[in-house]
Amino acid sequence: MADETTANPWDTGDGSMPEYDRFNVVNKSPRRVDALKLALGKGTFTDDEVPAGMLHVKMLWSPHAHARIVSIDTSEAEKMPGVQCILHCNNVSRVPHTTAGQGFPEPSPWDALCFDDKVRFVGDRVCAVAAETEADALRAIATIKVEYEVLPAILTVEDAVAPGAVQIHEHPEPTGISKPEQNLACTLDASVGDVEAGFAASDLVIERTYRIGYAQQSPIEPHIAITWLDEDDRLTVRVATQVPFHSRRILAQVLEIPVARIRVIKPRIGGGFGVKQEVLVEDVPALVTLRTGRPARWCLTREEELVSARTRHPSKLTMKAGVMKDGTLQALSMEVLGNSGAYGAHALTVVSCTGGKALPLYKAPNYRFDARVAYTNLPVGGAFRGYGAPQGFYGVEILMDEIAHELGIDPIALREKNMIGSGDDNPLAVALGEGGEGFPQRIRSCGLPECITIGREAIGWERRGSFDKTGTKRRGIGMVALMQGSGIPGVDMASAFLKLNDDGSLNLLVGATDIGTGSDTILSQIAAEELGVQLEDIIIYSADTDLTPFDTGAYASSTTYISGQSVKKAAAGVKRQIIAAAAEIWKCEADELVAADKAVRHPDGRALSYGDICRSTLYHHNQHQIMDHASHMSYECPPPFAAHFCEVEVDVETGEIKVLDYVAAVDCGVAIHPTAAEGQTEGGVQMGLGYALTERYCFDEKGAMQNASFADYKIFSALDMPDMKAVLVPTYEPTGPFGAKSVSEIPINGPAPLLSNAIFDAIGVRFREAPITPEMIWRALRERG
Amino acid sequence: MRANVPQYDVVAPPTLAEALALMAREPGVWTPLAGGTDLMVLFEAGKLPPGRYLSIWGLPELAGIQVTADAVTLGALTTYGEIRANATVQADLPMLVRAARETGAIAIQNRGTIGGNIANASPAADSPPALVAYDAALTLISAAGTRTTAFRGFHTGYKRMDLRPGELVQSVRVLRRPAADGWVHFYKKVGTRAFQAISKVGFAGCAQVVDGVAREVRIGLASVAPTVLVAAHTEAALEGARVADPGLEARAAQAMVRDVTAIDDIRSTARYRSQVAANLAAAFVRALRERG
Ligand SMILES: Cc1cc2nc3c(=O)[nH]c(=O)nc-3n(C[C@H](O)[C@H](O)[C@H](O)COP(=O)(O)OP(=O)(O)OC[C@H]3O[C@@H](n4cnc5c(N)ncnc54)[C@H](O)[C@@H]3O)c2cc1C
Repeated sequence: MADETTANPWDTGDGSMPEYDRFNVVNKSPRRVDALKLALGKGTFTDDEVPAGMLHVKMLWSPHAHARIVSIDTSEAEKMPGVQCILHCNNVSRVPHTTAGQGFPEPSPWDALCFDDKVRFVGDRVCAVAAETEADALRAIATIKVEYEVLPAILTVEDAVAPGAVQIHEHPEPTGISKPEQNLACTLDASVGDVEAGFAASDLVIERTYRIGYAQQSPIEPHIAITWLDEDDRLTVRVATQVPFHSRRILAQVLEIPVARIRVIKPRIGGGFGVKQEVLVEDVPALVTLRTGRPARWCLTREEELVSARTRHPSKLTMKAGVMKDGTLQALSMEVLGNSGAYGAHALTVVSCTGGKALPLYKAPNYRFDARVAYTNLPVGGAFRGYGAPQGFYGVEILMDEIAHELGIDPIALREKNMIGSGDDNPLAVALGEGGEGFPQRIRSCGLPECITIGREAIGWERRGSFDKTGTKRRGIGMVALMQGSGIPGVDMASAFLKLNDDGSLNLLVGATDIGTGSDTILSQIAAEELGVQLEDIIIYSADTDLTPFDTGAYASSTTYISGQSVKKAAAGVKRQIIAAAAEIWKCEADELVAADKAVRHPDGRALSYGDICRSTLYHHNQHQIMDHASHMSYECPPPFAAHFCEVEVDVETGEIKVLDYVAAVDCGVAIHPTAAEGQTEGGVQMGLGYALTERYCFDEKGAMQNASFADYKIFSALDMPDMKAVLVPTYEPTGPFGAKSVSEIPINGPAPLLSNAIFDAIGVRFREAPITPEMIWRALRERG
Repeated sequence: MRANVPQYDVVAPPTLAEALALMAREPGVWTPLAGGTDLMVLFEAGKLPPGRYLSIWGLPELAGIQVTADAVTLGALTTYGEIRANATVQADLPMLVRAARETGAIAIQNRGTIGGNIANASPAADSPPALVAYDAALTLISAAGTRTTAFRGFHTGYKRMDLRPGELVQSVRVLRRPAADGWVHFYKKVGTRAFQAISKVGFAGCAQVVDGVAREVRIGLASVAPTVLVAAHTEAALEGARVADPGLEARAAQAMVRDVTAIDDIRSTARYRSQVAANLAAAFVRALRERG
């Protein structure tokens, strides 16, 4: 790896921008390879092809937040028309596992069973019915009698960790729960230096508590899996997943059958945003198929998706900073109390990113991070774009504004004084790895200063403080600085396989999982660039556990950076073989030859096309298939950087908040597909604005979600979007494929703290809780009088 | 879950007369189906009662906008898209255009009808406040003939209204209120989000300001009571008042608190709603004053 990067002709060695003239396919925005078929409605999603004789699964969900199942009577349901299979805790084996689709062994506790004799939230599984139609299944479910012993429900994290609280996971089987008797799914602490000494040496010590709530990933396509037995009686699972290989492994565990008996197919996916990094729905239809021999389908409704799928972990953050009068940070500490809901999926790794991604943005000699994630009888947390970082930046970026205000320093100046930059080490990287000790990280490319310069100008930062404060509509401007990572260092691994065809086209097989992100396009661009062919010459296929090599999956901002590098290596290998074959045909030295524009050229002017060479190797000369494969894993995790700015208008009579203008400047290294990178930025900001302003879980006193539909749970729609400008600030990341870093998660870290900062500038009221609703504004203004 | 299609009967009579005859023969059996933008949401959620539905979407007798020198008549099937595009409505009844623009999004506006909005009787709908403020008159038709009734008072309770079995909303008539004659129009929808969102509070106020005095003050509100609300106390407080009177805003706001009978629900709280309604009443007074 080191050899490859130093030999890289575009590496300037200091993270600055090289000349791009030599890029032919990357850093351009061709039409996405799947655009046409999707636009024509030909892209095949999980539900688009239905095997004959398929059964439909429906679930009886728990009406109680916390209860023991005393008995389940399905006698009537079994006799109902169309009913073929009924599954519940008395007829499915108890295999503790996690639904979190992570590397093996998963750093999440194995605290879930397919069906338990206990329910832990309103919306937990009780009993599944498979029938000829969904209507048959629903009618049968209506006849099932369940006797519950209702237990006290824990609806806040504070109650969960209070002494004497009822225990949510008391069964003996689960493993990996940090402190089950205290309802703690996980605990984590890390420190650098001595924060207490740092506070003591500071001119100002400031401590604040911030709270941020539930949100759902809300992919347009809900969870769905269709299962059947193929002609060899192997279980085939077509599923909307971000993690086909983890899905296969966890399914094998849960079903107690060998991995070899399972094939997982990932077709086109209608978005995931993390919620499909969960092996959530595959097991039930798979069990039905294994028991009945018939194909089975389970598709969640929107309501089920909101209540019973996965969410963002709500978090309470207590932040404390020690600073000198000139703004120099002396100590920074973060204490997190997270809410994992009924199960601990991703609890440890998400909270690890809350501290690990947000704290190091500002350099301090002393850090402390102390996190606990508690079980409650509420919906379950999971992976969600940003993966803990949005919660972390919510605390860090509001705190920075509060410090600037206390010290009377410009918020930008305070950040510039302390922020990490090129050549700096991330001191927390070793302390906070993926569920254990991590790997040292040095920043090799950082465009943050330029992001700030561009953003400040685009928003008109100098107007800050000059707005009229007497009318009914008050304006304000705010900013935040952000970072993320690119893959999980030392964990994420991807592989790719390429072979050359008769006409010089190439099949590219990857385990990387395009879930609507555009990775099929980006990986094809990388292959084409490395090989010297056109994008159209690459025929990509992703992903199928029988056909494509392994990839950990679409998460942790890893696809471009990790999977991209595996594609680049495989392409380099194929290119070497093409040149070697030409050298053999011409009986010359390979290093005399140049491969470009789909042909190999001799210095004397002769040329052989890739097609000529392939036909020669397939049919005549030293017959062999030109093909190669490569794997990639990285101990480095270069952060992309961003600065977000916005202008808001607050109506003091109604409390309404209007975002007038939004600028997001991002350094993602070299953007492989600039339009897609801008699209990720705009989409991330849109999701983040929902998180900041409109998305809220309302529960009744029994813990049931009250607003489980898109009519009442408000995601930000296209029409709600402000004027928005996404600016790509190029740098060159020497460890990334063609200089690329990640881009898809970082934008969602911005809006929630940014809105707090901009609203403070507009009306002088500081909100430390999100989402900020018109009612909150109105109440705060009334209290202020 | 989506409802089971075979449990539903839909007929689409070619003429209004046949539709009315069918409803008269089997009173209470047939539910009208216009644009379907309310009914199909229920259907999709499995909450639409199985039964018989009468599609009126194709009936020309209920469609179209008629403009005379002093009034505009909207057929029940007039869509939001048609309202937005009509020049007279834009000029003289701008709050209907505002309400249309804020209803759902484009697809809904091409399909949703004013008649459906009225008959759906939601207290949170966007057009009814404007129809209250414009003092609209409804024409209702059945096999027995037509009758006309004031829109104010048509809705009698949550999802209840003065519509008899066998009756359809035929049209809504509103007098033109040109700005040149001193008419002031004030419309505001307060919601979580700009579009595809049910309001927390909706406000429509209209009055004619002549020589600094407000007349024909009419105010309708959405989402602050079990039906669209006629703000009778506030109207009375403003009727005949001098708009320059400095105490008028406070009096309007106080009266509004008496008018509102809001509740707490998942979208907002009663206190927020009543306070915002009061603030909007005061803002309405300022708009009148600008004119006077
Ligand atoms: C995504 C979405 C967003 C929406 N946003 C809004 C919004 O912002 N504001 C808003 O106010 N509404 C909104 N609606 C609701 C709906 O679009 C409106 O209420 C619309 O005006 C209903 O008209 P329709 O013709 O589609 O009614 P239908 O669904 O056909 O009928 C509604 C009801 O009225 C009855 N009915 C219809 N026509 C007549 C008639 N002529 N005589 C007697 N009864 C009749 C029907 O029997 C039914 O009970 C939204 C709906 C959707 C799906």
